[in-house]
Amino acid sequence: MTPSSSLAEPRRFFTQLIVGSSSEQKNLLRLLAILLAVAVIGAAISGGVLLRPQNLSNILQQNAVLLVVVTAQFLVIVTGGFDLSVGAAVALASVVFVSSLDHGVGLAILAALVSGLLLGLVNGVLVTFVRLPSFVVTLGTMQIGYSLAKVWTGGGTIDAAPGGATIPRQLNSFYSTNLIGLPLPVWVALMVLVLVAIYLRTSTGCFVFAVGGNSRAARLAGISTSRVRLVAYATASLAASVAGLLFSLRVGYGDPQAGVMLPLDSIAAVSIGGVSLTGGRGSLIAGFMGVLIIAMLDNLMNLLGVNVTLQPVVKGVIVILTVFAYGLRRD
Amino acid sequence: MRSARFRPQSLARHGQVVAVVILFGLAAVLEPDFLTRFNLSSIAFQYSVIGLIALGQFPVILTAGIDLSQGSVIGITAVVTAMAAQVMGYQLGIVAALLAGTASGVITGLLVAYTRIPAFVVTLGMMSIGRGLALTISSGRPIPLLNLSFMHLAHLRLLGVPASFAFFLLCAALLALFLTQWPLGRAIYAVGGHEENARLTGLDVPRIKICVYGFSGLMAGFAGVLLTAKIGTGHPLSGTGYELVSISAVIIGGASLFGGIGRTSGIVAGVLLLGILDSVLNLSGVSPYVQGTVKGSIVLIALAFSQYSVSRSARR
Repeated sequence: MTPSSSLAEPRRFFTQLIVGSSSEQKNLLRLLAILLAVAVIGAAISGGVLLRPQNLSNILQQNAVLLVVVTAQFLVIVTGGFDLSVGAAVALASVVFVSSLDHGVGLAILAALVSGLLLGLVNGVLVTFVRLPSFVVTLGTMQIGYSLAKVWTGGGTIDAAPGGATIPRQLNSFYSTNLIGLPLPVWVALMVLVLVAIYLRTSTGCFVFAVGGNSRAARLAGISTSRVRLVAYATASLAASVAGLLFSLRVGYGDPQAGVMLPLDSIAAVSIGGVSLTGGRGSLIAGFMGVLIIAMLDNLMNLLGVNVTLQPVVKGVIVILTVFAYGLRRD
Repeated sequence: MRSARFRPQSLARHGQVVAVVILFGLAAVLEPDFLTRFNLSSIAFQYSVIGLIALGQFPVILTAGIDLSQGSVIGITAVVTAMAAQVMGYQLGIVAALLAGTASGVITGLLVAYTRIPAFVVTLGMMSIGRGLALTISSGRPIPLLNLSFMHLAHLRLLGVPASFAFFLLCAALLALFLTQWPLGRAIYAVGGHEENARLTGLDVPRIKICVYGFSGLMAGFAGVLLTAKIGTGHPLSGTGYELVSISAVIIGGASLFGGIGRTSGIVAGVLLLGILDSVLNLSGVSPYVQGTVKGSIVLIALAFSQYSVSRSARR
């Protein structure tokens, strides 16, 4: 786990960086097996359509926003909290981005990221220094974030800044451009994943797990638990604002009601990935695979023409069943 | 604490109730339209629906659980009320809806009690399943139920008070009696306080959990029936997001998300606080977009304040 020993063994460092400890590796193999099973069975009953490269690339592209949000949610869940405000961070960032395009794309992106960072700092301060339960804090900031985004645009979607600037044309093709077989937004999601994974393997990043596993023990061991939590909440909302940028690029406007389902969808994905909701345990890539499993099943149901209204039923059953299976395994 | 002399601490113990009285007084003085019959009865109806599910959420939170499926159960029961009423009359429609609500609550309770799945995940799954089922059985369309005597239920009055609100207060009184006087009620606090201890003292923890989640489903059933009566339509999307409002009301009412702490009077006060705040913001013409910021901030500030006073009294 310690960075110094891993420098001596670069290969082990990188496997640990990606997949984590050996029990997590087993978990990942299991998830991979589930994913492959879904893929193979799905390909068989959909006549191979599911696994066509174009379809796979569509699945990833449609879930890029959720993939980034799952990374954010993971960081907070590992500390033993929940972040219900990730959807609001997405909405706020998308609105701030589009409405500050007058000052150039670079500044607009920066403004959107700052909006997320501020939201995360508010979450972090309320959770760490005021000691309110994260569920309640982020429930409140979710309401505040959506409300601010609506005030900003006057309630509706916004496709141009007050000065008339819209999302530049070069960026319109961002979502459909492929780089080495993967759409660009998926690369962004992977980049966020890798950055957070590297952070979690640094010496301060390890503390995130320690704080989530046993906050009291961590504090007694000399870890500044409040700083670790504060950084986790701030980083999570910052990542969620990256998801907000992706959302805007995908739809071409800023939406103050974007991502209403993201908090619960991301928690569901993280649970399917076997991350403990009480904190301290789990791997980031497992959360990613949770998203892929749900996404592939959703896509398969679409291909098979399953009634759209039945899809949430299937999703709910899968969430309950997989977490049930994790419970059996720990016996 | 036992002396009859007035102590500020005993006031602080009922902080929510005091806050309701103060806020009500302020609203009545500052907002001339607040005390009108029309305004009061419209808050009373809307917040009796939220109040009923908050009363359902409260025992669940007392056991350190959470019920995110309430909104979806409202959706199911709204659809069931309307569909069953079309076939066998609205009285049996109501019975069918209450049964459906209780049944889904009991299923949740069984999963929470007998598997190791955290309540958050079970009810998150049930939320998705419930909404999907409500949309599926109604084919995604609202189901009209234009039965006048049924719709009259939402507008019924008892001694000038909307009957739905009287019903909410009655349920609150019964729940308070149950939680403080009955062995099963006390056992709910014990389970939330320390589940392992409760089990070792011989309490049937699974049965208690099934009861609290079943009760939450039943209350969501009442809410679904009332909402259907109000609009004369069983809407599969009705109740969306209500679970978060009921959780807020319970938390503002002084219950701890970690279980074992909270009293029914506080929950009623939490519901009324949200209702009065909502009404005042509407009457004073605050834009609905700004209202979210105001409500969210007030809730967080109130909680921060109560947290501060709790930690200060703990330090003494």
